[in-house]
Amino acid sequence: MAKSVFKGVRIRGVAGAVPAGKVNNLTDHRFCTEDERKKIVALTKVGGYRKARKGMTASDLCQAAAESLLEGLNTSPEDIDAIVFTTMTPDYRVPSTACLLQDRLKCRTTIAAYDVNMGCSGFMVGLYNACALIKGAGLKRVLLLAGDTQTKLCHDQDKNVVFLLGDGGTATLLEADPAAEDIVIELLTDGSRFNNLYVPAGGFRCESTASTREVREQADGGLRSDENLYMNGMEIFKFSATDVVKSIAEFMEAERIAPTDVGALFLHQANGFMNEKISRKLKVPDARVPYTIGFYGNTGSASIPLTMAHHFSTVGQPTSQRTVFSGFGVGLSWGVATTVLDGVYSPPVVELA
Amino acid sequence: MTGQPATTVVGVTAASSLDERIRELFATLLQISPAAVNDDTRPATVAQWDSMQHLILVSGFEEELGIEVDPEEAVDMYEDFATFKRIVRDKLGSGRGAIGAAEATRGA
Repeated sequence: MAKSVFKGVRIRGVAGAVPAGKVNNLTDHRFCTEDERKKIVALTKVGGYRKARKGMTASDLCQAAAESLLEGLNTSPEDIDAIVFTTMTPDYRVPSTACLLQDRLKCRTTIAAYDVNMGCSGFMVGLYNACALIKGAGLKRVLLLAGDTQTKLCHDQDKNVVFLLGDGGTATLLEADPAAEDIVIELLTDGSRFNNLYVPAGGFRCESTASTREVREQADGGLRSDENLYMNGMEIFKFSATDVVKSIAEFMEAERIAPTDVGALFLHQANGFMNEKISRKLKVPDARVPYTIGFYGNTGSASIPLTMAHHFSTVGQPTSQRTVFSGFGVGLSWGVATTVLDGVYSPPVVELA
Repeated sequence: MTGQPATTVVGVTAASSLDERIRELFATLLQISPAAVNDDTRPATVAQWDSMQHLILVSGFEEELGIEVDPEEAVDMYEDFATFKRIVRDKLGSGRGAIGAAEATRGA
């Protein structure tokens, strides 16, 4: 079981950045009728989201978030010992974008920097990596960058995804601190269902050709090419509603966390209908489940830390707050974590033009 | 003895009426003809019944009938109309919904 207890690691701060470009789900996507758009927005609660302009990448957003965070914490980039960048939308296929971020953030060359190819569970997997680098490898400070520009993976007339997926980047600073509360993280994986949420072609299993780039109406009614993101909505709903809920419930029971103990439940911002179902199933009061899906949409690996950054920068830093996190998505990969958050710094979310 | 058949007839009538209301609401939310909906109707046979529309359907039934559908039940309801109807009927029968309450009152 990939469940670990990390002692002596503190989450010092979390920051977010989003593109300035906005998409309005009620007035854009004219390929759907007004009635359809209204129904989808009412269901998903995604009124709109941010969309990166051409040339803007997830690493740009994460860089902006990291600069804002380090400045606010009065921490020099030279004090960073490792960069972990979780994304499914890197700058290049080769090399790891984290290497470029080492340079762009003006960190030392004597650091570790690597990408983790994960989507909506990215923050969970990245957090696990960052904690392991501090506790297992003895590093002092790790910068966890989690971001995606999923709009670049989607065809803009695929109804299954285009109302949900937005762009965002985040930076979370983790530090060695003997006085910190335990961070408990469990990771889970089921690759047998990978093809319910994936980009079928353009990698090395099915290389890019004129045919894989051809946009056509697919069996599910969506318009896209084989190099666009495909989502089997019902299977992903089933996964989230059953496997993920079960994992969170079992994790909370094992950690002896009652629903009423939870000060904040940060869920991956999948869609409003699904997230409400999950939190109600877990019996965590709605008021303790922060949402940003209404205005940022589902931002992949950024969604949990972006929600944290928005929440803490608007309502205030948490004080001894029992917090539960869960991210779930492509892979299929999912994770659950808990800690007690205290004094996590969050600057206002940056808007990048 | 004469009361027993009458009760059965009322029960059957109420059930038929409920089935019909579920079918009409289902068709209305999917924007298809009620005549096109029968127990064998399934997502593969109705173009409008895709995964997004299914969740809109479930949400619409929750709102219209005052029921709450568990996530697992929402998944099961994507099988066919017979399953969809059965789960809605079970919820209404347990008195957790607006029509269920109305039917119960009528029956009393």
